[in-house]
Amino acid sequence: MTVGPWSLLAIAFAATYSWRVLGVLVARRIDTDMAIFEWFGCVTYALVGGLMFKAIFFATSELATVPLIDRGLAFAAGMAIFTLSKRSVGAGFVGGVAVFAGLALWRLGGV
Amino acid sequence: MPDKAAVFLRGARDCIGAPALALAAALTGYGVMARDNGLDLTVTVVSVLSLWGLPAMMTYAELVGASSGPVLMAVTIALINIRTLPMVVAALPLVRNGRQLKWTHFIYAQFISPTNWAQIAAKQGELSAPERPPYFLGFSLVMWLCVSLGTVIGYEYGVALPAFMGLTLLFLTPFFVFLMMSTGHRSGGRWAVVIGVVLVPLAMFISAEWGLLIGGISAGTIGFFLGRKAPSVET
Repeated sequence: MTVGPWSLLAIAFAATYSWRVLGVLVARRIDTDMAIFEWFGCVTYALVGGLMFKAIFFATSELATVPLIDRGLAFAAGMAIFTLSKRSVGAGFVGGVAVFAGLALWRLGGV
Repeated sequence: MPDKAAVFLRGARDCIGAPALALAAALTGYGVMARDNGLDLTVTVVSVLSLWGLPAMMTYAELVGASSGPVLMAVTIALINIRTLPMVVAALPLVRNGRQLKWTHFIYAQFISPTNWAQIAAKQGELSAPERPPYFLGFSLVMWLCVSLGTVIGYEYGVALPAFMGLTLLFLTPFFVFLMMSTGHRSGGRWAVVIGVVLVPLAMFISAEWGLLIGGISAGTIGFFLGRKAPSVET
């Protein structure tokens, strides 16, 4: 059985809004430093980080037409700037995207 | 009594600029990606406003693109967005006016995101308790408008852009989210990302249906215990 995007969105919304409602209800009674929240944080970092890494390097989208070396260079440059700039998302983001755009422009014969 | 309309407009004005631009750019990439995954425009915009968080949105688009089932969607999004619980717990006292539970708190809860939470936290000293709700709503409504606009622009015009720009938009959003996932203050979170980039794609190749969850939970748990073994105080 195939479930359409709207039904899947309703499910996704229910899954996320229930946490928000629960957050409102327990706001005064919960200790957010509990180890279980740290574990959930780690699972999110791993799951979403891994999924995004896959979306970049094992892309099924148009991104797959970009040579792997270009994606790797842009990614590495962005992460290097991020690390050297005391973990500034803005700096790493601009650096990585600039390298990617530059390489894409060069490959497509724009310069 | 504060002039609510003036405080609301002040919140709106504070959002116009860097926060709105950065979010609109990231969401332009989401628009391109959602179209690439076969979503229509309405469902794409509604997904932005209802899920209200890039990690969940990107995961939603990828899972729809991969024709995943409802159970995988529910479990994955619930796991990813459980982080909204402590966020709401931490942010609500900064947003509400008084401790008594009101129905409006359930609306504020939907608006809360890391961006406006950081903003309202930074403005704590400047705003009196009755000024917080209108300021927060003004800031958040501009956020809603900008991210919706960014999404529509990406979706509608992403294909009309010069090829190198279209490709860059497809790279930009997953890279931005990846960077956000790398900002964990504790070493456990950092280990989790490093192990996740290996385990998650590997597990997904082995099982297209459950690999994401199995890889994510395994890598997160290993990272969590590595972090416990060598706690880091680095920020």
